[in-house]
Amino acid sequence: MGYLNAISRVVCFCFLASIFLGRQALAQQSDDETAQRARDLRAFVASEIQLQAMDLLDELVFSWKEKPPLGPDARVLLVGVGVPLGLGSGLSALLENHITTLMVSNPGTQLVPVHCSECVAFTTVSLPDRTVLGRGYHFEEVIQKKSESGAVDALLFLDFEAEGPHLVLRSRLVQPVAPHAILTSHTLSSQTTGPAMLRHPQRLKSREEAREEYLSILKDKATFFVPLRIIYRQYETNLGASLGQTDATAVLGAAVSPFVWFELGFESFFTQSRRWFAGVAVGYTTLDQVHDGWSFGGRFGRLLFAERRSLLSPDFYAYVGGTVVSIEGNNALAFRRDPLAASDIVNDLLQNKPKASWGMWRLGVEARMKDRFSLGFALEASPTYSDDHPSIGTYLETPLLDFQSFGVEVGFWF
Amino acid sequence: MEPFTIMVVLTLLFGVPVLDEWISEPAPGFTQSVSEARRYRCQLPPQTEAQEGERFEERVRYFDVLEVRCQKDLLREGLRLPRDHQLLRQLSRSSTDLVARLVALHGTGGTWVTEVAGFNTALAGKIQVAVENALNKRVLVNLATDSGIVSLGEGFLRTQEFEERLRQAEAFGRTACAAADPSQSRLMVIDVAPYGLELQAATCVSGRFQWVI
Repeated sequence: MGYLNAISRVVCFCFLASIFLGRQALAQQSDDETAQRARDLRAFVASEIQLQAMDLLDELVFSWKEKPPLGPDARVLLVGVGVPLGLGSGLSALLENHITTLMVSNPGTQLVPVHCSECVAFTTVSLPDRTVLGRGYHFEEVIQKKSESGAVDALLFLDFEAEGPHLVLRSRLVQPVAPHAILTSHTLSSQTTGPAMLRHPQRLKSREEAREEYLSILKDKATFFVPLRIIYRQYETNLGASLGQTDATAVLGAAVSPFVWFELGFESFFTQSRRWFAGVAVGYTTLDQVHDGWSFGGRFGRLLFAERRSLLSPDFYAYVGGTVVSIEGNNALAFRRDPLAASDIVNDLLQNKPKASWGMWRLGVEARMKDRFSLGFALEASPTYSDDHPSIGTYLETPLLDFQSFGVEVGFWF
Repeated sequence: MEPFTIMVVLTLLFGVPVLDEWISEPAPGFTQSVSEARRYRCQLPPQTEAQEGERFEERVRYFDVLEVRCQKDLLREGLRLPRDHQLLRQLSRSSTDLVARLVALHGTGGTWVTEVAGFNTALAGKIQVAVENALNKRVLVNLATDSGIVSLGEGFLRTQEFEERLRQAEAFGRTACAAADPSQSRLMVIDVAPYGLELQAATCVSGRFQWVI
């Protein structure tokens, strides 16, 4: 095992060295790489901001629905959506569409969105003392004409800004003619709305209702779970190798048939984010005239690829565990160090059935769907069988553990 | 198993969770640089606050049970100018503070026109919207808005001295106030501070210029 220790030390050293060198390399990256990272980040951030911005618009329209800001059927012209400084105008077009959809889908706001191409088009006006370039609504003549004809009752200005970790929406409904009095204004922050709710445009909810619904989804499961797992477990057989041995001292191995285990357990998460869990389970297996057995084990796992459990997609967990197994029946012969040992044969004759017990480590991954159903795969290492056992072979050898079996499991959660 | 193997297994079992928490540590150090850490805003959560569903990254130490809640800025520094970024980061608070100072001087009620002067017209537009919304929400029964964004010229940029810029801003404000319609109450936000994040503002009421302190 000396060389295994050496390999382990080298691997550990390489691991630590790679972390250190990786950070050094990051520090020395070129400006081009930095610019590329900024572009990637901009795209990533925009996708997150887009959801938050839509959520804030939902909240705004909901407040209008609860308390219409203007008189009945007021015609409102959306004249601009400002996006956070540093982001592109593509987001602005997306949000314009979203607010228009919301206003059309919610007649309870008593606001009628109107379109005015000359109000939003870029226009140039040349005066004796200056030439002005701007959108139509910047020019009194354009808006006044629309207002007098009754086409526009109010101008809607929306402005988003990223203030630290929060996105802030400021909205204003303004009189279309001078002195452009602000009729009503709202300031909403993602700080107060919580995670993006993605509410349906025709079924808007208040912030409190949406949050209550969100929490009820999180809380609808107890902190403790009772999983029932069906595990198919197969051992690598060493029988062929044993039979092929010509050494007179070689012992004859026995065949191992696969096991199907039923495990009933108890699991709990450490935090509300459900990043960590621990559990214990008892198992039972039977195959007529071949084996009967029980097991007891535990596992300790962590959520992968995420900080908290997802409400929308499967969650992947990695876990380590230990299990003690005891079986009796003909299959137990294979798990003995010496299947033909005289003392064991005498015991078998007296007890009528061969018996074997052993312990094993388990390293596995598991996909869980909404705490209802799970699929998993695990590699199992039994230190008892790590060397040249006559019956049990090794699937995978590593410096730390040799894995003699694998398990595929299906779980149902209660 | 040999003692070294047992040690490695134990290290992995107990070390991985610690390492994992270490990686999500918001403080600068082994896992992130100072500039990355600056993106976090951290606070100790109030005891009475509900724990579920909060949009926070949680950090719980194993032994001293200290929980710090941190949130990252939406935008990384570098996407906009450093001062603009910092000023926008606290725009809601500084605009509310400014309105509170205005109320202390002039009370509530009335109709105001807001005007913002600065070097960056995009930033001035953001300040104007924030200040007007804060005014409309907090104190005033009716608020008139005008095309009130003024781009300051190169003259201001010649000096980095804040006091000098303030003197120029006052000269600018007094001139603008003298030319303004005396029937309007005007709030002038003059964003000339080279480094500071406080919004400098003055009022122009009946042709009288006054700093809002």
